Amino acid sequence: MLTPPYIIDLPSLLEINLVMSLVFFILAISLISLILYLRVHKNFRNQRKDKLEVLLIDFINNYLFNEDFDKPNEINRFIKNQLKTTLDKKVATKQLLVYAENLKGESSAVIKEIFYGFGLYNFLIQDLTQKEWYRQARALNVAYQLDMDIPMDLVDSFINAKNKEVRQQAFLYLIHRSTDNPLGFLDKVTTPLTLWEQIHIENGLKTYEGVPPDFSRWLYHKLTSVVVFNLKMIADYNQYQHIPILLKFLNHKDLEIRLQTIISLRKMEAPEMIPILVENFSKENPQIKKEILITLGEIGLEEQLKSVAPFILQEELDLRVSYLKIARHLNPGGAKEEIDDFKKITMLQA
Amino acid sequence: MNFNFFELIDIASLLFLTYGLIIISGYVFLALFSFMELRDYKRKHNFKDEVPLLQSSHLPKISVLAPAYNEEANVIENVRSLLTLDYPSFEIVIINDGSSDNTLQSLISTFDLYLDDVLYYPHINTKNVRGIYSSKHQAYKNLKVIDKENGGKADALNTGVNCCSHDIICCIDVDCILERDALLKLVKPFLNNDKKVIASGGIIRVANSCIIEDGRIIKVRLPDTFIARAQILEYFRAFLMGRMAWSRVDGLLLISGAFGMFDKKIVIESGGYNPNTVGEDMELLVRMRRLMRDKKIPYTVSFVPDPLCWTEVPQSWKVLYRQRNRWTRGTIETLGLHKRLLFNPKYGVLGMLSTPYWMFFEWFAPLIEFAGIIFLILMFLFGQLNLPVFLIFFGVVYTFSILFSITALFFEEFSFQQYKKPKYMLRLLRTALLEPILYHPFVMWSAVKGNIDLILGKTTWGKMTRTGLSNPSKTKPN
Amino acid sequence: MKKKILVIEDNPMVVKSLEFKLLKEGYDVVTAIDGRSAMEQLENNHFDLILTDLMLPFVSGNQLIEYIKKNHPNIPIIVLSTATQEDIITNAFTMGVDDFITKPFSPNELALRVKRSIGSFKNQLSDN
Repeated sequence: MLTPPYIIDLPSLLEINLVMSLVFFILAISLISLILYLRVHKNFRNQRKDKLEVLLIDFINNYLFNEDFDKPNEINRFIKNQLKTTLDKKVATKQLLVYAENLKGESSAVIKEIFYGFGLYNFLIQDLTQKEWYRQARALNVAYQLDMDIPMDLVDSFINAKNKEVRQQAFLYLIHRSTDNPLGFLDKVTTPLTLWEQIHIENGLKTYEGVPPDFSRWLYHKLTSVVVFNLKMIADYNQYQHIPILLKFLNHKDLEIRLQTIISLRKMEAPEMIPILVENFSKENPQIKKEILITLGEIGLEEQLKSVAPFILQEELDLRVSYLKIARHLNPGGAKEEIDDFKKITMLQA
Repeated sequence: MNFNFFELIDIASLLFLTYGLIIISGYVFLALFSFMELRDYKRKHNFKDEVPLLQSSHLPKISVLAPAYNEEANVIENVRSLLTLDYPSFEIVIINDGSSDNTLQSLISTFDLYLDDVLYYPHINTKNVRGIYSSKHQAYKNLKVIDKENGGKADALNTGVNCCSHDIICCIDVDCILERDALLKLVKPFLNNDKKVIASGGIIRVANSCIIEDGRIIKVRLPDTFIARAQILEYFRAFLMGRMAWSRVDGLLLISGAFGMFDKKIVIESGGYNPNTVGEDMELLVRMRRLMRDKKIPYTVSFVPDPLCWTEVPQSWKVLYRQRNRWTRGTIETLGLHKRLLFNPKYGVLGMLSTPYWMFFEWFAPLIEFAGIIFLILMFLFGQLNLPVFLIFFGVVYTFSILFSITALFFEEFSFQQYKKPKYMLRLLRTALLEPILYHPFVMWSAVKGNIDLILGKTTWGKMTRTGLSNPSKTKPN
Repeated sequence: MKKKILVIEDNPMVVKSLEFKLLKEGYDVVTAIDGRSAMEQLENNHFDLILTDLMLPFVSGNQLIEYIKKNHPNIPIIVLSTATQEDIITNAFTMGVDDFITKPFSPNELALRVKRSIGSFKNQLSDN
């Protein structure tokens, strides 16, 4: 085939294309090999994992329930024959976690004994002192679930870790390991608590067996989120003795704190708050106004609700809806005219 | 004539090269960023379990909005499955968009519904609401059914936004299958972020051929048909590579209509879904982002890569054609409505990266490809087609598209590995080899036709009433 | 003759531990990892006690208990579950289960409770 004249000055382009095709092709082939390798590797790992899991379960069951089991010798033999690689140790740790999660009573101590016996504690400390956040977080998680003692200064350094997961696991560890002050770490917290962390802390407290903390201790914390969290907990744990502080907080300068205070007081059904709420209503923003309306609906009277109605602004339409709903709830049929009027307006707009 | 033609080839080649470079750098960016994002996500979630959290009363309440249009056949089963989601506090809002079949009647009789006098303020204008129903049964107390005049998917969702009770909304297609912990996983970004989260989206998986029982995926299987398998590859590319990477730089422009969670206040403030476009899901997110940017409030949009939502993709070429045609129109309409963002440094990543990417990679790509093919045909007709040259060009395009698919496959292998059998992986590899020749040209043509339809049919389209939701308008993966 | 116990539980570790412990206590143990295979076992064997989880694949624990109460009303049932909510526990007792053990559980205590429930079963038979 004759070379047409125009590609004479274009061979570089063709060359580039040819090279690129080759590069893509080689990359594609190497990726395919990588996929296949990963698959084979994963399968191999999974096989090893499955096999080891069976061995572990058998071993742990014997250790737990078989009185004729020669514990010291068997454990050494198991380490020597089975726990060779990092993967093996990870699998063993995980399996012990499953045991810890499902068994309690006399077995818990035995599970810890096996954990130490396997030499996994050193492995844990090693992870803890690495700088990768995911290793730290994982190790903290294990320590917390197995109820392990780890150096406290190390845990303390994680309270304000940059990574959220590390922080969260550190909180859980501290709550779980504490005997008298599960929320002591809040004194040291300097990064705002996210809602997610708050829920985890709340959940951690549920399994805390000591006396629940006095949450009012952190009501003057410099972080709003810590204050908000403790306001929630005061209501959840029915610490009625703090109602006077909360009543003062109804005039707190921080909006979020005011908001949560209203919700907490409502949960504790504290009628003393009503006059303050009614008085503050006109000054508040729509979000707080809405909570006030809900509160009046739950623990207030129809007259009180009516008394704030004039302070719902024309443009606060959501509030108008909430108000009408609550008015109807307090007195079915009572707000009928207003509701009809409202429906007419919205129909016109729609 | 001949001389001009050569010049044209010169220019075309140069264009080809520039465009190729843009595409390749885009690809490298996607691959790198999505790798980092997936790695971090895996590390975060490989050692713990969030299930105990489901007992907390402090998790925000969620309204799940699901429009239904002529879904008589499956709606009951779908609602039952939705009602069993694991989450402490949520409501299911089904919006019957003026179905002409018995969707509403079967809902009323199965769940023992009565006409409830629900008060609400219609923040967003919608078609007339005929009634809102609640159930007499305690067991279905978190079910709400809205009956309204037909107005299309966007209008139905807007009605749901108006009438629902909670501040976080989750918009879904009624027929998609959600994992039990889907709500918890999707709401997590809203609660665990230093910036305000306005929306979070999830990955969409292909349910064709999977074994489904009681609205749950029991066993993941690779679809039997080539057309569905090709779409799996597309979804891998779009979600595992595209969205993951965009979420890393916070440049996501689209959360699939089939599964996304939003901050209701921001949705209302930005005016809700736009019923005049066929790309309402993308258009809304872009508008919400613009609003936040204009108000100068730091915010973010989040993306969760867990396989949480499964959906059936079209198995027929005709339906696929309609779907892609519509997606293309949706993309162009959205870019048109928000052309102010394009290359506008004021909008940061959104203006300088996301919108240009969508313009070049989603809108222009099929057109340029199409032009290339026309050009080739012309050259052939004029007897100027040089076989080695053609083969070299074809080779570079073909190897590149395969590399792209295989990278996506690699990410699947690296991350969630839903197709566990090696046999499945081999079949997907084979699909990746055939897809650029047997599937891609069809999709490209659908997109080109979308462009043509948009230009020709602008006046007739206007409003999108009566398109019906049963068309798979969902799960746009691009 | 040895008493025969059917253990239904989907967590392999729990199944194996229960099997081990109960074998040590001198029972005959059959295991099933989901509701469906449990039903098959029930049709092919005679059991003196059933120990079941509530969250099971395919057939839920509640459905299974209903089935057992209908077709084998004389076999005592012990539920072993992570649920701590009162309504779930009350519901289980309303359906007629004999005992409810929450996870995490103490293996020794479980063995004791199994012994007690099997004992009550014997009484039931002699009453009839």
